[in-house]
Amino acid sequence: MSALMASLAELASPLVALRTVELLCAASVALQTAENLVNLPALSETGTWRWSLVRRDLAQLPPPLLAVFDALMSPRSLALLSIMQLSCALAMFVDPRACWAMACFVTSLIFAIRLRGSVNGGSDSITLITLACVTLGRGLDHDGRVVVGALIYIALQSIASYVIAGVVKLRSSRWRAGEALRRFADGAAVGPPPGALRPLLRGPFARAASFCVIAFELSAPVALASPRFALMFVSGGLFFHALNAYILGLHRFFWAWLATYPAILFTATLLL
Amino acid sequence: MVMVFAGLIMLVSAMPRHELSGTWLTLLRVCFPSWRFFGEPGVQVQLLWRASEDDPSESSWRPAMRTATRSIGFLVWNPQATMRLSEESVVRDAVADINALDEPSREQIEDLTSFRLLRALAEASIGIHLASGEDPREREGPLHYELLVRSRAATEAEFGDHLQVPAHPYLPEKRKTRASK
Repeated sequence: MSALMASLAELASPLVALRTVELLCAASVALQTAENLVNLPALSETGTWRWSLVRRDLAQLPPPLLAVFDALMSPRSLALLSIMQLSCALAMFVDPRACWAMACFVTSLIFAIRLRGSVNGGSDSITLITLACVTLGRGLDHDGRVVVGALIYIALQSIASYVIAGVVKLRSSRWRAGEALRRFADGAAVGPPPGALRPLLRGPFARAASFCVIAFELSAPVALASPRFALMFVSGGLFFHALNAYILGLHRFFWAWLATYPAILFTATLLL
Repeated sequence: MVMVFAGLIMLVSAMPRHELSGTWLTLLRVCFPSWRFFGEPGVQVQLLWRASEDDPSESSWRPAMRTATRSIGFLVWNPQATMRLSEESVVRDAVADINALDEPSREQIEDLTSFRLLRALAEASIGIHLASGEDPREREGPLHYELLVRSRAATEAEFGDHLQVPAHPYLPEKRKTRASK
């Protein structure tokens, strides 16, 4: 615990915290991009997201701009964009510069347009927010106030994501009864939970599990009260997102939110 | 100061929003999320297809969305699960767009981009099925297929038929090329 607290003390430095966010965000983007590369056939003219269909949404754009999109959205260009995004994410590991995060932000947005909104909902949103703040913080890292502001913004968006999701669940009678949790688990992208877990998502166990999820999400603001609370919260968050990845198939959420945790730990040290 | 800023973010995120449609508005939602995910369990959807010459029983329907499984590296790598989630969004968007139309005609439905993507999803699955050699029939011309969208609301125990689309021709790429020659 003392070793952990010592590491946490290092995160009190804005530049160390920004670098940690940057590294975790780079890992998250690299994994997302590698998956996008594998899934590129779904964006071809024999796949689901055919450009000839998706471009109907953009038909009102001026012809020169539409021509730019036509060039960018072909399978070959998307493959090149993915490789570029992967290279920029890897460059973030070795060479901290704003341009890498900015390039990842822009390419992520292009993929969001290509898929009519997003690849994976909330994880895309928090990744874009983190990338935007890393770009700003890294670009103006000579100004301590900008770095601190960028870190606080990431932390607050991350905390808001838990609290608002918790409030919405608390207001739902299905969540309070444990029924919603079972429903989400049964309809998971990776199929219903394995047999051994199923009894835990029924009856009183489901109610208890739902209560734990809601309590954890609503407890998020307490993380900002002290570094010790922040450490407890992010430990709970790791467990929470690992369970979500296993049960619901939301593995992208794990990495996307993990990248925001150094910002939460940093912000908690500010309020001492 | 931090607390005031936190309150502001919570307020903006919690403000009531209208359902957004269209690429640009959905993009705005991605950049400024409301964070209300996993609130109420929404409608669960299935997309099924069958060749029109298949026997018309319930069992002849085949799932169009890919299946994803849990793997050892579940925390790091599951592109199938990522695609499955995106495919569910395609079906849900089409269902929402069709429901938003007031007594829609077939032409109105067929003109929706979301419905065309739904068809593309089914055709991608048919293409994989044909390429796998599982189809026992020798086909020269197009394959005529029917579509079925099944859904289950949070209050329902079983899936029910939501939309059945009559036969539509699908010509795989290879045959299209052969036909054009």
